[in-house]
Amino acid sequence: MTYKTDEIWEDKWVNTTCGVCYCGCACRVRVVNGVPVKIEGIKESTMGGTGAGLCGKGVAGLMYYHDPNRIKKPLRRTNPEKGFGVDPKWKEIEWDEALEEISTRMKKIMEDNPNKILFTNQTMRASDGPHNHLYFYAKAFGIPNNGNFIIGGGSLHCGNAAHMLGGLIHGAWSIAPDWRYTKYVLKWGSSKGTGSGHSALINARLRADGIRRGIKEIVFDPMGNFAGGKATQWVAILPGTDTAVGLAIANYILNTRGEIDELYLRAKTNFVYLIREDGTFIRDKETDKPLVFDEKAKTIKVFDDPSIAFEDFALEGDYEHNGEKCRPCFMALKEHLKQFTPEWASKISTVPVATILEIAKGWVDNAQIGSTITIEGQTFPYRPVSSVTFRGSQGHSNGIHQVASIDLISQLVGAEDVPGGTMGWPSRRPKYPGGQYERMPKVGKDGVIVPSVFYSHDPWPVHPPTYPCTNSGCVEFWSHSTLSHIPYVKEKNYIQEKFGVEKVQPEMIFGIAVNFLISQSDWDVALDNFKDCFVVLMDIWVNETDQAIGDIILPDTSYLEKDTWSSEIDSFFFSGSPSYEDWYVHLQKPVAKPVGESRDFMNVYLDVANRVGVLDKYHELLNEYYSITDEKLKLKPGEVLTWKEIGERILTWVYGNDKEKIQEQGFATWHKEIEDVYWRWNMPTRCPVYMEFLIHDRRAAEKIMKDTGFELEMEMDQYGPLPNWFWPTSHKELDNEFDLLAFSYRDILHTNNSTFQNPLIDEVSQMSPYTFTITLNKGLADEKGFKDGDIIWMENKYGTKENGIVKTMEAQHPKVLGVCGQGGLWADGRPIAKGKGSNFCKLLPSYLRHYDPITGNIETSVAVKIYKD
Amino acid sequence: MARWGMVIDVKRCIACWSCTISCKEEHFLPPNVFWNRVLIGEAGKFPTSRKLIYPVLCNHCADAACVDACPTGATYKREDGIVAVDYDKCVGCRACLISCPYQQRTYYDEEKKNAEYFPGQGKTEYEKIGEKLYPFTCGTVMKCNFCTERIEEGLEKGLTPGTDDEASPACVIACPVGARIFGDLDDSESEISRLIMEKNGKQLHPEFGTEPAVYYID
Repeated sequence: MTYKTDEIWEDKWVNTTCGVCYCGCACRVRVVNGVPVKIEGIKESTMGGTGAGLCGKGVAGLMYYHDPNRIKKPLRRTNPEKGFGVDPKWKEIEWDEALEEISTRMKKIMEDNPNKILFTNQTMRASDGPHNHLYFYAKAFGIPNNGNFIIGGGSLHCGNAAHMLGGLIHGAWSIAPDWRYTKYVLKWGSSKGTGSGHSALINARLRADGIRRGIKEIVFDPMGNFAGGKATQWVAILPGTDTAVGLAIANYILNTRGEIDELYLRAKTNFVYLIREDGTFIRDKETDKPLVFDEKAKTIKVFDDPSIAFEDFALEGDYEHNGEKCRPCFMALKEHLKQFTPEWASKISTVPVATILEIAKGWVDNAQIGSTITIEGQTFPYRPVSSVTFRGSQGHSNGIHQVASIDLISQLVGAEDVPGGTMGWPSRRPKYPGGQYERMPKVGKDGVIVPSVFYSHDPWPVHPPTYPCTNSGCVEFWSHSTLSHIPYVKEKNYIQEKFGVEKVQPEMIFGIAVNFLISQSDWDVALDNFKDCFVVLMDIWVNETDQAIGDIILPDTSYLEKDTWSSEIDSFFFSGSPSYEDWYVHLQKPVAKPVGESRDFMNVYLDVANRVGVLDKYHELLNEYYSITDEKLKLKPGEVLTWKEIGERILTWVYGNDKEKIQEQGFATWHKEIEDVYWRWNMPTRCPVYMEFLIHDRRAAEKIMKDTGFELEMEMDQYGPLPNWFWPTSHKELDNEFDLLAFSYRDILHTNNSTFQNPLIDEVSQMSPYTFTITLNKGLADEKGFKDGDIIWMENKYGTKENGIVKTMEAQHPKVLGVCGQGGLWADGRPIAKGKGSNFCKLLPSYLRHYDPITGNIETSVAVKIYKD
Repeated sequence: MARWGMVIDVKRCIACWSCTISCKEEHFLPPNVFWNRVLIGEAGKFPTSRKLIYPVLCNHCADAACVDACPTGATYKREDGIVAVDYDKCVGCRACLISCPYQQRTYYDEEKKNAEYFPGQGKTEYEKIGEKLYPFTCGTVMKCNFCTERIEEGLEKGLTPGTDDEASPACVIACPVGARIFGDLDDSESEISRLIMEKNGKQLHPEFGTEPAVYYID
């Protein structure tokens, strides 16, 4: 074996940022004679796995560059008919023609109402160019809030409830265990630490060390595969029933054991706020601040009165204010929880009573309430127990109650943002030494955190529902949806008509790397709702959405060809380490020349903004986002710059004299202080665990519904201040015929559906027993007469069906069937992906009742029957 | 002289397949050829069943069945413990392939040589340059070589395999959770020797009697 070195004129490694999923891990690429040939992690960076480690799909990212199916010129649909199975009859056109048409259409629409343009992107491509840029890009067009975005990446399966609560409690987008110091972890439908979720490999590295250290990790999940298969204890649970077990554990902590972190609850939660009989806060007439009772002074004061010591905030007691009876809302919680016995929770969730009690006991025993730990000379409460959730458990029509009950367990023992507990990603981003850019959270109304950055829709302060709505997402009414569900809802037209949106029907979609038609829910509903728009999408291939409804498809560069300075500028919040590890920010450096005539979408954004006449506004918003005060560096009116040229200014602002060094090495690193890790402990904020605002929201929503004659089914009882039990819609649809719950899960090899087109991932997916199959519990399969390799149909109550190959497994709940993500693909532009796996999303019915009425999360399990042809 | 070996920590492993795919890129392996694989299965019955994950590769056995089976001496045991293949001597009889109890060998033929990652669409630049950088010989048997080139080049530079990335197998440095540890089995002070002792490292199917140099800890 010899290398033919005489033919090699270049053999180098280039540092960049992985773009295969949204985690944005550090990676470096070997380039030989201009050809990318290998990908690894970057040893010097903690943004990613151990040492130079990178996950399989990250390593396989090479093929995004080499794929011969990449589109090389803009394409125009010449067949006016749209739909599944319709040949678009693509015609290649010149960039100038495409951009002129796009901007002309946009200008015309904007003369009428900019809200008729929908924007969308996909988190999978987030690290190609930061996703929050999309939001202020849209703002430059005059689109003020989140109602005009169609969610692209993980779709509404992912995030709305988890992000809402992450924002309210931690000022963060997501949560993770403090792997370094924890001893006892509860994971609920989440694969954090086993290869999915935000900062996937950072968490995987930290978890692996923790597991070796001996932590106990208990996973509640319908299947024992990625998270459950690696857990020290896997607990089979029915989808969407985590709330029941969570509430039973909370009841055990508070009422059975009575061992709670009183000081934490008094100091850091709103459980001390006084409520009247109807559950609403008693507020100070002058300041409108919630009131509390000072046990030492024996008097009622405003919650932030500096004369009250933390230990003197009353958690219990009956008081009177201006003749009105009141009590701390903690008392309401205490009484409320009593109904949730382990026996009750077991009947709903199928988790055995003894298991619930054993886990609850382990939780309290390990919480070490009252203990402290000193790290780097600073002393913090030490609570080595952590309860985390993500996509699985929160993706239900009872989503907000799922996440709130799972959070409540940590709240009761004070295991929030302290060593060993449940952590949010940092909400603080201090300045790089010698640089200028920083972001800091603030204390908002009622003492609640206002995150330093959030995507799309800020969780706090909250806004009660109002109408008429001004955009197709109706976010004035669904005021807690991070991204709105309404564009996908079957009764969209009815809702928009009732809420006064009929005059802003979307006319155009402008999106980046999305496949929203097949990645959310019922395909036919999505097709109906979007097909009449003029659809402009950028991608590296022609995917299913492009083929079905795309009018103009623009060729994007892959992440390997991008020169994207800002790829992880807000990584602290989204892709950094939630643990005590140095700050890292990575840039995306071009590894190869753009394929064909492909262009980086950020440059296309700028070009379109310039043609439409909103570039100056966009510059203004960039200056504002980075708080640039240096006149030399500010982006000025009339300037037309490339994204790289803009980066030269902003990187100078962010990194000062180190800019060139950082650009050269591809990343910046600096020390994270311990107070930036456990920052919330020293910030005078209170977690709004008693969600009083939902009482007001319910009143406002019900009034609007009455005034408008809105008659669609919405479970308004969910608008309550305390986590409560509500059956997910999927369970309500179970009967003798439709007797199983289908659910989907994230396979470590796949990011939505883009990875299905990667041949390196495809061939190992075929070796993996579960990736391309429908998994069934072995006993269930025997009972139904199915065996490995059988082709079966899954059909929902609405007549939608999908087929796939059976793989039996023991580690699966006997009442469910599992499907990995977004297979069942058919686009001609992605031949490797074609026909692989099954599409779960199409089985999800999309009536309004299938969505969480508060956050807009779709119900991600579905009642189905299964049969052979 | 060292005897190179590997410890795989299955407790850390999350079955991400990075070892498999990194190996393919390191050696420019054609479609459907794997020198590293991940075996996934389960043991026990619901609800107490366990997922089993075993990343597997050539075990570089001390008493390798393939070496004994090879009629031409193409497969041989190096002094450093690596079981190597001399493609010039290999006649493609595949006795080694049949004899390997761990099924770690692949016969490389015209079909594999001509296979494309994007079938029917021609070879990519990656595949074309791979054929120059890392050529294989049709009609021979291939398998994991513990990244011999990396070890040898590393040693020449004064680096230590298992400690320095540049001198260690690609799958070891690719692992995002540090589940692969490489080193000298003959050095009782090496990390892998210590792990094997401390964590009771086990070889796969020791009953085959070939003395694998790859150990698993749980």
